[in-house]
Amino acid sequence: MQLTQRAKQVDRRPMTFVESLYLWNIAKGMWITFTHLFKKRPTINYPEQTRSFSKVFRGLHVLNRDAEGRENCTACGLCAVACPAEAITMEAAERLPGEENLYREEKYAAKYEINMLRCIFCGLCEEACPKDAIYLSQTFAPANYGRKGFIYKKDELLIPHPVNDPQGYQKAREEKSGKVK
Amino acid sequence: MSTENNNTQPQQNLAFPGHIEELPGGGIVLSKLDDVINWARSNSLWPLTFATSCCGIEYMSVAGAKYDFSRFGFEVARASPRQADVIIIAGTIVNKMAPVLKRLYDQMGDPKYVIAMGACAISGGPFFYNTYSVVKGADHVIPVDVYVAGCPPRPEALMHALITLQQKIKSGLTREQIRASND
Amino acid sequence: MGLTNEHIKQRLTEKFGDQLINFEEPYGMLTFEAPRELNLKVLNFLYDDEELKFRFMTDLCAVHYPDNKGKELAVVYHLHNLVDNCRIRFKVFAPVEQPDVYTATGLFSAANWMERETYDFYGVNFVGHPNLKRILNVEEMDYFPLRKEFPLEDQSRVDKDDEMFGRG
Repeated sequence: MQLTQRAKQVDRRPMTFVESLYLWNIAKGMWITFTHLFKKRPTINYPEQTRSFSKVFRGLHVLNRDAEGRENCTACGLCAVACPAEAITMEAAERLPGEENLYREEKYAAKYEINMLRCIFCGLCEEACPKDAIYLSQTFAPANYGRKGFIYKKDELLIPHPVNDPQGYQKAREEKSGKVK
Repeated sequence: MSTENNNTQPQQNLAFPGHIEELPGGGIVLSKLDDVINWARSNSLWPLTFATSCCGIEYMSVAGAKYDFSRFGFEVARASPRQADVIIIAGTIVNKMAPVLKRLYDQMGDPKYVIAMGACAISGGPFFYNTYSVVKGADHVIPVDVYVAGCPPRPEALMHALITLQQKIKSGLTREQIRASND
Repeated sequence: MGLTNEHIKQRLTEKFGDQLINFEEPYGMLTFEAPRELNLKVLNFLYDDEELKFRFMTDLCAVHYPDNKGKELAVVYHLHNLVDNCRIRFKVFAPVEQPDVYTATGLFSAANWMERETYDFYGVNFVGHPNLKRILNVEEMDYFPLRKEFPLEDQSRVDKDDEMFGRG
């Protein structure tokens, strides 16, 4: 039974003396190796060059602010419930009078920690968030020498302030807008 | 990587959060020889083929032509622990695998280094609360030098871990010294 | 294709009478229950019969029904007739206090590891098995993890309670 049209019968005749010297076959193999010298190198020299990630790549988390620099997060806990790896911990606090320029709503996350050791970067927190307060950026989590450095606190997660650091904010926003929703 | 360089740029290299600072001590000649030895060691680290689950695919990708860790001296993945210098724990360590991992680590010749790759190997990851069979992080079994987060990590993230390990070896510090300086 | 579910059912009732109960056809696959003393007889009959020829064991596993008093553990056999491409499934029930079921390793070599796995996770004691010990879990494990009394999540957790989110 022939499964494909390309099937070729194997030649099982004994080799002649000239064939058994393998000279022609060695030359053929060497020629293939030689032609690879002139082919394009597939290697990316990683630390100097980087590959662009996919639009849907999910990297480190970012806590979002609105255009005036107020934090979006209201500590509702939906991200923590949605998280399959239970990596998110938060503590809620109530906004005091005079803090309206810091937090957008009456409740905010006083403590917000993501344990990158456990996080599997699935993006369910981003999908669960009703306030557009957390999203996953285009940078991967860097390596570290100890476990301690992987507990990301709120100050590491927050997006740069749009008024105090407009360039950093713009850069982070561009990364986000490149994503396909 | 000289001592002055490290001391004059504290926390400059933001890509590496576990920044090393040299501890004082060590004579000039001795430390210079150490530097040479560490430099040589750091540029010839042969990893062990040890992939227990999906992170192994990214590991293969790093070993392949696109990323090619041979450029950094991680020449070929050896199948025998006796020929390997670094073990990349790529994947879930279940309770039944833990003694095997320990034995592999014991069979490796000194100096040996360990990279824990991916959420399962560094903390048990998604299996942290809900399972009866997974070790909650490979560092319960063997000491780990470098941790990589991700599920699985990008090949770039593993490359970053490999470079981080090289930096650590070049600095000549032990795990305990790094922990002490981070605390 | 000559083998129909009705025919298999008829052959089985001819042979075993009303000892086989609960004939069902979920998704077109004949399913029934047998008393646990009879499991080898049923397997042998299905294997040897010239018409039925169920000579391939696809799967052997167990299910724990904690509310089913006296019949907590079900051992499920999946068989396949490779000639007529027909599948069949039957269950035997055993109490959780004394889960003894005769082993099928004499008939199917494939049953060896499947029974070890079933023992490993549910503690079903297969009488006559040549090497009944844990296969997937560590040998030091002193419980059977897939029984329902071992919950899916650690019950001592507090990190999803409402106090964590300021709603206490």
